[in-house]
Amino acid sequence: MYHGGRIRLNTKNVHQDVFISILVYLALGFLFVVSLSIKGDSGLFPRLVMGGLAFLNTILLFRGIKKTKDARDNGYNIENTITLQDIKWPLIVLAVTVVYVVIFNYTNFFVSSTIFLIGLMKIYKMKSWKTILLVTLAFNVFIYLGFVLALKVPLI
Amino acid sequence: MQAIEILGMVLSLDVLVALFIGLVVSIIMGALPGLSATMAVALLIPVTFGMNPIAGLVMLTAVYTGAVYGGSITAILLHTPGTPASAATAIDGYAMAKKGEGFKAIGIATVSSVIGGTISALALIFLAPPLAQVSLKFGPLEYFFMAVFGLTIIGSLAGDSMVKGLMGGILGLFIGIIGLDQMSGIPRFTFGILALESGISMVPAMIGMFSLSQVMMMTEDIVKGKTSLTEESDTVLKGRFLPTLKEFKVILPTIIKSSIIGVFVGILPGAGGDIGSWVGYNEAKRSSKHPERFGHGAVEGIAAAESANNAVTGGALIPLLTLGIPGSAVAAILLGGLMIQGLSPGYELFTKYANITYSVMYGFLLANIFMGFIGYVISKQAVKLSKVPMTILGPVILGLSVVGSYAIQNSIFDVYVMVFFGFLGYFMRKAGFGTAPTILGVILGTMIESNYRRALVLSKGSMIGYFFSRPIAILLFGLVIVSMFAPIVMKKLQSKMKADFDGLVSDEDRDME
Repeated sequence: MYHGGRIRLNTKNVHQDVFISILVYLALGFLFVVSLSIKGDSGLFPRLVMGGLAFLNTILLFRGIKKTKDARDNGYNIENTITLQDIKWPLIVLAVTVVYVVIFNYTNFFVSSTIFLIGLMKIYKMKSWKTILLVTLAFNVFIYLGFVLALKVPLI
Repeated sequence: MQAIEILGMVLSLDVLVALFIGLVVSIIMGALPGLSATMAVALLIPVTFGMNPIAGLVMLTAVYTGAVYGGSITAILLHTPGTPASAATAIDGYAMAKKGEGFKAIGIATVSSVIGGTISALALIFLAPPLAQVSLKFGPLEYFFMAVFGLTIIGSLAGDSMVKGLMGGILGLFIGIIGLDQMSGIPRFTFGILALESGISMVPAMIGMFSLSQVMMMTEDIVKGKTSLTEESDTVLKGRFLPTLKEFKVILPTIIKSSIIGVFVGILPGAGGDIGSWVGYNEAKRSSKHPERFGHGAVEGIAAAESANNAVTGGALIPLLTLGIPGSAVAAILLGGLMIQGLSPGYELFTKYANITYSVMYGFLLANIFMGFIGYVISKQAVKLSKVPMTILGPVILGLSVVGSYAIQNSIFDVYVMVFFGFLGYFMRKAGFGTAPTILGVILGTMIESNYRRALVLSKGSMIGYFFSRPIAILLFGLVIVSMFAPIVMKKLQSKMKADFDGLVSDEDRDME
């Protein structure tokens, strides 16, 4: 952050690997509890795999802490790749995709695809309705010919 | 199996149509930066499900080689490699394009790719059957070590952090555990969901990890105002496409040498087309009488890189078909395609299913030859397609991902699996984990666990004694240890070559000043 000729260090900044590591520990804890209910030898390999993951996660945590400490000691900000600003729109696209699948489940593929393609292209701020409709039509025709007629996939 | 019988199967209409479609789609996808060969194969696997096994598998192998070749087109004309395997091609290819010889550079790349791919297909045809016989001597312990050996390639797929790469691989192992235990039938981590009892569907998971996550990454660029995958201005393509006889005589030794290098690099687990092309390029430069021409539009540079990266494809199929060990991320997905058709790698593939296997190998040979003709026709159009707005590409890829995931088993649950893995893949990529090690882990996880437990039963309580009574297992254990250190050597080699190239570019800049 630049403020009147002086660089102000965001000392609350923590490397994202630390958060990731904590999340992985939480997930591992939950899965370990679940694995205890698996009977016999079947639970052995999963616990072995979780042990390996926990070991590597510990290394990740220490590295994350070291990166955070180094940044603070040397006076520079940590630039995490996962920020709310960056992931906001990709997550909206993901949510739209989930809605697409739900509509597909309750109607059919072509109805849901038409709504999805038009909706997503508008979200992407495409202006030309001619292009939007042409792409939607071409996609539906391609899928109908390729999947419904040729591969006999029940999409309707 | 008579050659004429195989030829009849390969030259049937459905196989030829599949081959043609596979090549056209893959060359275009390969030319689009960001859309990799891995994604092309993952998206097309569902299409092959309803096809006869020969047509389906020929299509997938054609997609593999076509996408690697397609990457060279934008590498040459726009200095933007369509796939990482074409990075070395961009050096001399773009230098030629700047001199107005872009079309000729594509011609050299095409000829080199065709010859490299053809040599690798021949290597596959002649080397795979005898190697498959070795698999007859394998028991559970040998397969266990073979799978662990396959896992060691994670090091080279790991990206910047080995720890994150290994974590991704182990996550894959865990995902492979979900479902009914193959040996006892006990459900593991299914949370009462019936659809999970048969395990996580591989192909939808791969489509999510490679396609949906890529569109989510693309969305970040769209929001930042980037409109198309490439921003470079149009390059006019004119002049001669094929090299003259004199030029061909100059590049032929380089092509043959690089092709052989490519085949061997392909066989090595973990060394994909990117490493193959750098090794081929560096060797061509080292042995050239005029190394100073490299980096300034040397035809040998393009020939070396392109023949090597396409030769890697056939090489990578050798351990895949004979032992079930995928040498790269694309090969791992191809293994999924093989399994969808009800085929398992190994000796049976060359005996019981010999008609399918040989037809696929000959089909792959044919694909490499046809690639030249199709490349000639569509290379100009492929460049234009790289200008298609991402705002169109993104929704279309997502639509294809949904229909592809559904088509495998006509299951909406599979589509949700795709969405979940897209979400997971996106965050893994953002956090620097990479998705390829996870996919590899999923594939090899089941193989590791089941064979280890079978070996335990066979050892009758004395695993160490059992291990020392099996020489192939000891040899494979040694290979595991060696290959654990191989990625470090490979990475050093690759960075050294890139450093050489950077030095070369600096020299060029100085010359211009």
